[in-house]
Amino acid sequence: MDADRRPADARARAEVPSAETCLEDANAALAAGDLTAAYRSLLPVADLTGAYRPWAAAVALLSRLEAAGPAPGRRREIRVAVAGSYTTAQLASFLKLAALRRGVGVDVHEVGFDLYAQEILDPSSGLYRFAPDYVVVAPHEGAIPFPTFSDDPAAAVAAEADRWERLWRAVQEHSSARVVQHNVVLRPESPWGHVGARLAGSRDEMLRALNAELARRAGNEVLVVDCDRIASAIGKERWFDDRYFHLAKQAVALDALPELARHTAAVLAAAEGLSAKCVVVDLDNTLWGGVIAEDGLAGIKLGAGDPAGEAHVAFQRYLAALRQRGILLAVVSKNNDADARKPFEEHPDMVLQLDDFATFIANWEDKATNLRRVAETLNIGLDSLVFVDDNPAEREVVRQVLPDVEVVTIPREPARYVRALSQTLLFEAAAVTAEDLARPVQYAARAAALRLQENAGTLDDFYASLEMEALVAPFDELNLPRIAQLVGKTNQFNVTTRRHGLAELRAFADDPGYETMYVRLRDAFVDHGLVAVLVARQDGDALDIDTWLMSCRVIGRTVEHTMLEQLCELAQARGLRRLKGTYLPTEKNAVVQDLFERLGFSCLSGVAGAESTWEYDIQANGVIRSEFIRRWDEAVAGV
Amino acid sequence: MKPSPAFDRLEAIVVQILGLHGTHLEPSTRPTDVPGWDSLANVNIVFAVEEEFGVEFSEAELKSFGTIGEFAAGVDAALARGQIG
Repeated sequence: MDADRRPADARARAEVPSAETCLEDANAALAAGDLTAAYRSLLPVADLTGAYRPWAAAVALLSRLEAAGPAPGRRREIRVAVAGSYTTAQLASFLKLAALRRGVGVDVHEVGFDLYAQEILDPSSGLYRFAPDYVVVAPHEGAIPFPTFSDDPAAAVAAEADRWERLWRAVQEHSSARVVQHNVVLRPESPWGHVGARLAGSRDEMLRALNAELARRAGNEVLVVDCDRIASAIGKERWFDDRYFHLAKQAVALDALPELARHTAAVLAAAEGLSAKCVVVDLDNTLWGGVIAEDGLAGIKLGAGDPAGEAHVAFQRYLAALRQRGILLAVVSKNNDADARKPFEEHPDMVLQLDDFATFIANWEDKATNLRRVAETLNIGLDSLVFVDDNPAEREVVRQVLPDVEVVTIPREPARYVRALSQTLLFEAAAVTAEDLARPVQYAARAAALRLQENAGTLDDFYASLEMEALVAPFDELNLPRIAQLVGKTNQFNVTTRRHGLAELRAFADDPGYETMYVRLRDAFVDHGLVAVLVARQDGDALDIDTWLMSCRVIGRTVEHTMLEQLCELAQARGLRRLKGTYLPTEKNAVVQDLFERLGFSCLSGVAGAESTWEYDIQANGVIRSEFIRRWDEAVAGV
Repeated sequence: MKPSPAFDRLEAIVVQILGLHGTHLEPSTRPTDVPGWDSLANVNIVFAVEEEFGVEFSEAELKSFGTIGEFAAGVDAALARGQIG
């Protein structure tokens, strides 16, 4: 047993190189002129949750790499202003590294020490000249002017929340940036002690109430980073270093800064639609202890009475909770299919059931091939997958073959699986919509529809059998968060991939020069929710499509015909003759490269497959018609 | 001044935090002469050095360090008096 352990540990150590190794490799690669390798070696430092020094060294090296050239393979470019009540220079520089680890290139502007209010309220300030996409508002506890005790805590909390809300409104008024609010970290020392928790008027309780009130007022527009939770997780006595604060006016201790940067970057990545969508799990020694094909149903460790068995149940519960909030689950296991399914069908302690998985693959092919299959089946990118496997060799193969897949380095001890997965911070969401909560059911329905398609005689029979109905409507306030979420993250069916933010989308809805449209789709199996978005601008005698995208769940359902039918009618109502469209190719949107051609548009410039512009003459060709999707009664729409 | 035992480790910390890979510092170098060694970096370096050696300096001590060599000698002195941070 012990003899087996040592080599396994040695492999695990080699799997995650030390910060020193990362930095040395990155320096060597930079010296050799291999910038790609230098970035690849450097970025794992950002997975280290603790110490300041490797982060400081990595950030210093990052600026040298950036001077040589930008990181390859960035998924987004954003501009972030950091407006704090304390010195945030260090946070700003760490944020660059943390965001780049998630594929987000960040241009940072740091507002000077304690200038946050002036800079936010003055429309001509440097903050707005920087034209940020996000403004991180970072107060420290000392910036909240609550007394030790208040006779009217409700009024004091409301007044302070008003102050922060005014800053949010000013950002929204003077820019199209989205606010990222750091909440207040309560200090570990309290003059009240435990009785403070029983007094609504104590400063402690007022700060807690302020955090709750800010979260409530944030709604769907303001992003909140729950710093109090981060500080609790790493320990508040570690978070607050008063000697450092008095010397440097920096309110977060050096060793706590990496976590603050990582969490802030995770929330930014979520707002950019880059959070993971699916956890792909192995079975043996991952969902249960032991090997089902060898140990049998009675031999695997799962359930009460055995520490490892209980740990595997706890891990399954965590996965079930992720699924409930909209994260998909999939199985990729090297097993005979019947063996792999047996515990799900027969073991009384299984938490997860077969229909909890959007796809279930048990065969003897290599994991990379099967992961590709998962991505194809679910119609999501490889970079949306998180791979959890107890076997370091499998993890290494996937890292090598599919670098876009996030591979979690789970520890050998199953009791630590939950924390390892949670600490990746890959599952943050900018908002949770009804669609997120319904997603698991929708994907199960998608699998059912795929089976129906296999049985249907012709494609037309298939479409007809789906009994699809659509609601098509202009943007409204209720649906804007979901619309912004789709605009932020849709990669495949997306003709221009323009990432308009929520404020811009609202402005389109209010601008008479624009038509906006969203589609809700339901069919015989399921209500898919809000799945498609279109924005068109009136340009001369045409409606010109600025943005057109659709959730990958409903690609191939003829929703595009329904949308253009509506757009033709909107154009006619405006007395316009034509529709225009643009295709801007990306790495991921090949599925729409011939979309306009298929719909009968003629090419104005470029060619199908490359950047191109298209037009559709409604007068000459008639309104585009949707054959298979009925329009759903508006009266039902409000539900 | 005889070379300080702490100098090499201190130099490594400074090089790492300021990203001066491949650079060597002299004991006579003043922080103000090193690129990137501003007041915030100074506090960060001090805290990193304190953590590395398990010592803690008073404000008066910090003010007395004019060169990197004096800083290193300060570390040696703190270690000699057995101060634990």
